[in-house]
Amino acid sequence: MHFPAQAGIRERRSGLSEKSLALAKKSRELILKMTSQAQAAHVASSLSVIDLLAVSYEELRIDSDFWSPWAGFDILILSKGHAAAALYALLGTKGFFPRKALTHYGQDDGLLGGHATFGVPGVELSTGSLGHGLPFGLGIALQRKRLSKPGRVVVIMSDGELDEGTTWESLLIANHHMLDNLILLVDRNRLQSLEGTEDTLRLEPLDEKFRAFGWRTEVIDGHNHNEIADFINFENDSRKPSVGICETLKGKGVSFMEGNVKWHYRPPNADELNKALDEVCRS
Amino acid sequence: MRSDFIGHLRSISESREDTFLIVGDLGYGVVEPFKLAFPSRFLNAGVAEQSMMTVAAGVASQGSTVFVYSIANFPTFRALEQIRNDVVAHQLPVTVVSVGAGLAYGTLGYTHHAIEDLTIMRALDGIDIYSPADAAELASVMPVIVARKRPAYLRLGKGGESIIHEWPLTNPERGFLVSGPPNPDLMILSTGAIGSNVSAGIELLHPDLSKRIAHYSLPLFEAVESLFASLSNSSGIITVEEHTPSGGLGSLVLETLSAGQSKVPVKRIGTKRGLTKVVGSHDYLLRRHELDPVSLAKEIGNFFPGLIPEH
Repeated sequence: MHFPAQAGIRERRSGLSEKSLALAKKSRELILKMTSQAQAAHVASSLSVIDLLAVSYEELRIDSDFWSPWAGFDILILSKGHAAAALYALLGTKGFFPRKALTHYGQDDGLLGGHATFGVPGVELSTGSLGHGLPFGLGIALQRKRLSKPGRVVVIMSDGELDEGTTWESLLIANHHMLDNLILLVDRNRLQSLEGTEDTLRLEPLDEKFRAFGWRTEVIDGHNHNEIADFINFENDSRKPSVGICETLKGKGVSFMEGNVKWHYRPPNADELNKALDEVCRS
Repeated sequence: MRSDFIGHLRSISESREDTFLIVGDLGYGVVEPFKLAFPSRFLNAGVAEQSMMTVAAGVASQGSTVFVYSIANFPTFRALEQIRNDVVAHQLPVTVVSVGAGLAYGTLGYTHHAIEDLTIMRALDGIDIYSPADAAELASVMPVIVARKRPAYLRLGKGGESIIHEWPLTNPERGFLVSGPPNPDLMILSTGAIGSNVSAGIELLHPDLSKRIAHYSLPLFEAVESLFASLSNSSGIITVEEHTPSGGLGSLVLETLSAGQSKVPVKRIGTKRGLTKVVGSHDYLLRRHELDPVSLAKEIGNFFPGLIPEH
């Protein structure tokens, strides 16, 4: 189901999807190199979410020069903290910190740990335990509404993460308080740690669940930058928070990783890295 | 004490715009005055403690000094990971307020008895622990909490606590001498409202013994460190808390003495194991846990005489 592109879109600065596509491509390359060098887990999780992150950073008002925690015009929280490599690759490319720091990802005493870590410029919340990003973002959104401060709070969660009880508590709270400045993006790659989401705890019909909680809900292609941008930029005066169920592929961009649970854990070896980089750079 | 807390929060909020109160669907008849006076600074999060705690962190990130109010173990045990990862790890100014310390909720049973909370709060890295004994101690710690603007745990009685001190009190960081000589050879440290039972117990002792005992009430756990000199110079120490003796005030005293290589004997008095199915009024439960004045006098009378050196 595609989001109707014409209805109530905030005016977009032109040429942005070229920027976000280039950002995502560069970030994919870095994700593969970083996880291989560090022999770290979660490469596929990072590849499925990077498009959501890249578009968010181009569409939202988050300026690396003026960034300080929790104080931006717009706020982006990666609740799916194990996709840290994606976040760091993007932040390094955008200049939140020197890009060469990425070579220290996962190294002893390095700045960049295996989960998104507060203290790294650009990271709003340490997330590694799931289910924290949404209530935190909701707290920010609530207080900003009360203080009549403009801007959006975007939280990116994984679909497996929706299992956490705080998800459903937060859906109730955000709806009750009509937080239409809150946007949830769900990385719907349909895999979690042992099996698929539908074999673990059935989420479908997921869109109906969100609607039943009173959220404005759309299902979009989580790798289509125009659809993601249109969703984020929608002028929401519905007095309801919004959720985009973003259909994605775990491991997107590397054919032998796509849709395969083992790549949640396994970093690419040298040979696999070369093959993967070939595919990503050729795309 | 909970009404006093709301009273303090209201008066602080008259002159500061950054306070914020979040409740977990509790506080009927207590929190309404705050909500009426400051509706934009009040939130009932519903019966959703984990999200409530992280929402508090989010609100605090926007510049507010947030108080999260619930009872017994709900704001602590139920939301412990959120306190740890969202509040304490980010050093956000959130005060976790728990009403009904110890066995105060009596007949409501074990789910409502807060007797292990100090242990888990104390284990966290970067949170201040406040446990006032009465209204005067509460009044002394509120300005400290607000000024420090960092993670805090405030453990309150339910209400009707006996007054232990004269007003006003200042410098709660050093603890308050309730009775006894300034350079004692025997010391009793208590935290929270149980201090009034300790005072009553000391009065039951033979004057030759009680005149040598200094009873300190500690509304702030960091006071143990500041009392190290007196503690290590004494012949014996008793700690009393309406809490398990494992991990709370008594354990902190042992740890502090050990770190300072002091070998002063310590007796930790607290709640007893094996009584989780017992219900009854607060006073009844205190008797069952041997925390009533008569039982305390007996424990003190058994422990100290053996330690007093012969002259």
